[in-house]
Amino acid sequence: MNEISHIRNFAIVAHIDHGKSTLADRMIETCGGLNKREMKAQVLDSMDIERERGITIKAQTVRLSFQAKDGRDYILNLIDTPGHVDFSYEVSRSLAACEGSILLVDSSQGVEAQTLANVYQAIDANHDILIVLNKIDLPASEPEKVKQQIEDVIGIDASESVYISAKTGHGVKDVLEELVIKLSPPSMKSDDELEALLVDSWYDAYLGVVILVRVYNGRIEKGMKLRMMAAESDHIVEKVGVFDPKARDVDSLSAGEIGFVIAGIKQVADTSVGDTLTNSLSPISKPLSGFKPSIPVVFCGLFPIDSGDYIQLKDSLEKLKLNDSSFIFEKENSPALGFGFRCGFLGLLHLEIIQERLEREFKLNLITTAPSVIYKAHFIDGKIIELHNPADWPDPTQIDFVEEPWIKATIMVPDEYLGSVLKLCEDRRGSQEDLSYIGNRAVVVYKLPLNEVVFDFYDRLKSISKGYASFDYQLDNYEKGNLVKMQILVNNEGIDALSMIVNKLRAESRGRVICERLKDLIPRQLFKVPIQAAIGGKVIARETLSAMRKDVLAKCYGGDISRKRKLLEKQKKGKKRMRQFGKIEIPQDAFIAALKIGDD
Amino acid sequence: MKSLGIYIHWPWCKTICPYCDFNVKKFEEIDTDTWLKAYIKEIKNISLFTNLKEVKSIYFGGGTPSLISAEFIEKVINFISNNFSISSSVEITIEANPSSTKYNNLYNFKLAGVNRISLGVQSFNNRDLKFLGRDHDSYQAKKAIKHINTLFNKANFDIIYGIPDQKISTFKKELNEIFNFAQSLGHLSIYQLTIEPRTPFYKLLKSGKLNLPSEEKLSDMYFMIQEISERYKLPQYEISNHSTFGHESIHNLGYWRYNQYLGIGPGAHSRVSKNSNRMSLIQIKSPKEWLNAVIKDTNGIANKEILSKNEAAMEVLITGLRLKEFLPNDRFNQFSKLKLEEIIEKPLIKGLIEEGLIESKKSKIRTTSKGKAVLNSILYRFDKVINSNY
Repeated sequence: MNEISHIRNFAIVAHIDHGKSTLADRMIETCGGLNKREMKAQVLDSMDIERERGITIKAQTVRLSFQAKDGRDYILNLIDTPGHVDFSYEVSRSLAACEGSILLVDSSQGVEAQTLANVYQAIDANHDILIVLNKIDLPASEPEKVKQQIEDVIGIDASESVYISAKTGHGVKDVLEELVIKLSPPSMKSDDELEALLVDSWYDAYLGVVILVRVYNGRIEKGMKLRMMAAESDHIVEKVGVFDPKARDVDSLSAGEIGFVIAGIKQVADTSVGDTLTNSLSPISKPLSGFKPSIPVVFCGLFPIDSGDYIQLKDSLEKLKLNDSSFIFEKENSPALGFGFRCGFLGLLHLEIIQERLEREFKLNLITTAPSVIYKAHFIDGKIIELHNPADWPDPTQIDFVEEPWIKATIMVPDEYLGSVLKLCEDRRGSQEDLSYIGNRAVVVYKLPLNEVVFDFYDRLKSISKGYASFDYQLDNYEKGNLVKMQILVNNEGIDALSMIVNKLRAESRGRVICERLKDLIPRQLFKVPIQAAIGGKVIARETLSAMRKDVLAKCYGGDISRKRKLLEKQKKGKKRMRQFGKIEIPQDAFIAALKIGDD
Repeated sequence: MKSLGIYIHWPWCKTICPYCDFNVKKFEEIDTDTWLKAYIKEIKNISLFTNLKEVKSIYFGGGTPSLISAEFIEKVINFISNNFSISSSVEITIEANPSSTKYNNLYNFKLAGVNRISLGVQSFNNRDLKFLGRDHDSYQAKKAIKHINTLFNKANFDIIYGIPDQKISTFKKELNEIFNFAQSLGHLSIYQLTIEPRTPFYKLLKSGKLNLPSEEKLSDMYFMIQEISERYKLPQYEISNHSTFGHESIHNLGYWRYNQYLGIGPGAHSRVSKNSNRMSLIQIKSPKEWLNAVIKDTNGIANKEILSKNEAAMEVLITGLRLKEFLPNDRFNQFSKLKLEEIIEKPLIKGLIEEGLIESKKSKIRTTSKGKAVLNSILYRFDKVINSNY
């Protein structure tokens, strides 16, 4: 058993690229967890995508053994949290497992939107905060200015900030020393009833489902019967261990400790981040507070470009689901795109990550339909239904009103781009809540409808601010919206994959853009083809594709019909990915290109 | 009586035109006797594949068969007539180039048994003739037509349109001249220039040096041809062929009606009946190898296959929908599992009827004049319905 006063549990709060993973690596190195040969840059980011994008998707943990200047040995547990808003619930659970946080700020960049969002979460979790200024070796580093910023914006004392360069290792030991001094050790109750938090879970090919836990009270040991309170299930503990950073078995995890448990759990979906674990034989009466199941907020269709890949897509989704219970999928059949799946994600980044993993790890070529959010349709008869697929949109005459989700977005942007950012927010039906300054950077807080944000907001924001704007959001509330289902009709037939839910006032301009784009994308047919955007029966935008007038092959010569027949076959092969709509055929490429969002 | 056509391919030309992708070779000194022997032997070989005896048409194509001597032609015709029965109304055509068409040659061909000439005029505009790489000028072309007119009752000349930089206004004027001559001969073949892979024009096109008329312009030209041809009483009876009544090409109609035909000579194709199927025979493409195979081995066949029912059915459409006359459903249904009556109910085809590109009448169909202009896309749809069962 480890002396609880010698334990420090902490997280690192930082914006992307401010050096979180590098600092973690240096700390591991300093504490001797791995030798030089075993150190691979950014040990904690184990997935390829995590390493490449410099983001953390799953919470990771590492136990460091550190002998402080006071001569005593300490156990420092680092929980590496996901940095992105899509995973903010996971972040909050990870923070709940710690007593303190390192606020890591790039001293050449300063405070960013994500830094703010995360540090406020840490403060809300009553954390002791250790401020660490990184990249002190860079010529552009301005630690004094950044310290002032932190005090002005966040309102915490920055006078005892530690200056480091995670890259060179300068100051890393000071960080460890300060952690011991500044952060409170975990506290415990007087009884020994088991009370633990499920921080994260994942699937391991050899071990099965692994759960990461923080023990608050009592202890977890091999052979005991563990109860997951929200899941209402019991499991026998097979293995208990810690990561230092390699997985190492221990006899037990006691109050204040963080470690992993393997308990014969079949799938990740059987576990919920934030659940409370207790002893089945003497369960506690009240679970830890703050548990909520993670709910997908962004939806889209995923279809294989090659319809033959459908089964493979299904298998791949199931495999990913093993390790990511927050993402959901169900079968969907689209006349335009064939068989595929309607999938739900925690946010846009989550969507992108899943899509990228499917393409990279499972070698699938995918089409993604326009992302949608969850709408609440209130029927005249009082019924309320949640909708996330335009295809399920009910008959408008039966709807009393529809509510849509709104978010509160925090955007930080250099002054010179503020005008464009404000215009973008206004264009997307936003309402301004706050506007303040940190030095020459503006901090704007806007309320925005989520469906405007999932469309292409982030791409637009990046492009109008030349990449300087940082963006963070949290779900706010549901509000009544003037929403309609806009259909796209080609040759008077609805193309399901292109229909979308839009604000009525924005429908016409959105519809026009799509019709124009389709006109350029669909090859000419044997007759005139109208391309229309419509709400119900009313056409709001229209383009006409003119008819093909001349299409001949060379003359048949000397009875050589074979050649002609083969030319036709070749032509047919070239048009393999055509989708038939009544009497016309549209190449699948046209839909894919029409779905590519961006330059409107 | 079912009709049989015989095609004799003569692969040699004095010069190769830059748009031509037929099986042709630059003329070289050849041993005419050996070649004659080979043709005769191969006619015999190929004739074993058909049970038809009466020959309705013989066609000497190329290449430039008018480079052959009349004596050679006569011997081939005689051999055919000794081995088959020759219809009293047999049509015997030879293709000729204005540059190698002297009055005497024509007269000798007539004596040899030829009764129809197809002349490769291509244009009456010297600028276009030069561009097309032809070795004659419009004066020679007109003179040749005059000779043909005095000697032959049936004849044709070929014209190419859709030439780079061709203007609608000048083309219209040219068309009047073209149809004046066509009226005197009774037949005209007028083709849109298509750029085929492995030709010098193809390379020019790829390097952006060929300014082809737009699709709109080509369509305007096509409909202008139809309009003027009606005025000159030489209506379209096939996409690119016009004639006065009774002057249609019997031999070519044989292809378009999917009759049986024998093709002899390098690269020539045959279609013969085999039980209830259609068989395709293709001759060896290279002239030298063909000659060797025929003289030294058994025959000059490179490929022999029984076409699948769907392939044969598609060939019925590829050929039959080119014609103005209706295509009888039976001709198609004898091969296809999916009957024409069912096919025209499929949305992809029904749309064609609704849009006036195809006409259907009792148990037959045809393309309209508008439909013929986009036949390729129409065939693509039929192919999709037949082979993918859409």
